Amino acid sequence: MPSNAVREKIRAFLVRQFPRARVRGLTDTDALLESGVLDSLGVLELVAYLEKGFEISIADEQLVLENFQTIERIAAFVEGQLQDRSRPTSDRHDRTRFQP
Amino acid sequence: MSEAIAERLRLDLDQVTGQITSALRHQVGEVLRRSGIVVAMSGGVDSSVCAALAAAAVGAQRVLGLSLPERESDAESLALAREWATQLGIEFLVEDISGTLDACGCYARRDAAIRRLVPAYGEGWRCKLVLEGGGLDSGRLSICYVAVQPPGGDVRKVRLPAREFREIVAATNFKQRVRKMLEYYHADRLHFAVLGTPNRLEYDQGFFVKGGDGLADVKPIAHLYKSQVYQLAEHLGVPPAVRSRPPTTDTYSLPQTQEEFFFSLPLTQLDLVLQAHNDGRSAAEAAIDLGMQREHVERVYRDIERKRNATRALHLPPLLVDRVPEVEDHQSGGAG
Repeated sequence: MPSNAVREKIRAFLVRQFPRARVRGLTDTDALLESGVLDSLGVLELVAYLEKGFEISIADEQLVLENFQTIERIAAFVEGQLQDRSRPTSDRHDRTRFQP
Repeated sequence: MSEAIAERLRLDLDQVTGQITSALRHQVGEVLRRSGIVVAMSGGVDSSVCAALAAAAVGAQRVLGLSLPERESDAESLALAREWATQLGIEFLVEDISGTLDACGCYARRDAAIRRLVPAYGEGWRCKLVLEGGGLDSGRLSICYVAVQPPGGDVRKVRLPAREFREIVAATNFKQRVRKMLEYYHADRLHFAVLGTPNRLEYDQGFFVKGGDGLADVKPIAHLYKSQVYQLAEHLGVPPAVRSRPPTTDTYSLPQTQEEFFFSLPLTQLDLVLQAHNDGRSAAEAAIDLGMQREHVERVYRDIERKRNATRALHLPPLLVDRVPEVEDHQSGGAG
């Protein structure tokens, strides 16, 4: 899936699901947690959406600030998961954290 | 803790006791025009202090202490509450709310949500919600798990999807709301006011159930930090067994501290950081005072603000479309 498409899909979910995302005119680099767009319950909703919407599995160890700070970082994390999924098992590497 | 911090939190105990009891007398007698006070007693330090303050304010004979246990309550809560009520010389009633909770479907609704995640969960199992991550040294996000334990087995934890989290919390909130319903029953029958027992940390951070423990006519210690409540407890003669008890929610069948459910930091530490934040001290200043790393204080400051934002609606009174000035003139304070 192209990078822009991943971002737009995530943005659309956030805007649809979280009222504060609608009010703010959300950019790719807005701090979602610090600005209050996402709280801990919101993270759970987002995780459920990402797992279902992108058919990926997110482990507890991957629920770190770096992966969920902004739309840009969430998209990078999702893309990493999608790439890992398409690689042979023996070729996968640790993607528990966002790697710029 | 530095001497400067201890000094800022130290109360003039006689003065504070006088201020609170005087305010309570005025609020209950003059503003609310009620003749006494109902206080639900959990055997914890906050409600024990409040019961003592109520007795000092309006007289022991005008205070009703209530214990409202249910089948998952810690038996120690009732024993400690009863003992303290006896010492204070106030009337003390026990009403087991398990039957009412059964009728509301409190346990059944909660257990159905848990069973979607842990199909074997059933009779004899115990549970609690646990918040993990979000600690000082952790880059992990605060995430909620349900911890379950089969009879005779080990505790295991399952990450909670948002839907199940909401359903478990919504069902469990029946406990606080049923308790409040009974507090108001007794208050109406006796023409008393209902006293709420939150301390400043709980009040500020929204650690209460709207229409449950958040609902009250008076909240006499909502302005006091937890460490100040402990000072007052000692001053008022609250038994050491109550003062040394870890603050607990006493809401789930597995023992659960407030820290593991909501605050994610030791309460003593969070109390001090909250006080520094409210005093307008920078993270760097507070870090020196508290012997913490600046980054850690910054993280706690951010968490305090996040919780304030997330729970702001809990403090709001019902929202009207237009003002009703005739009623506004008589209103003060928030909702709960």
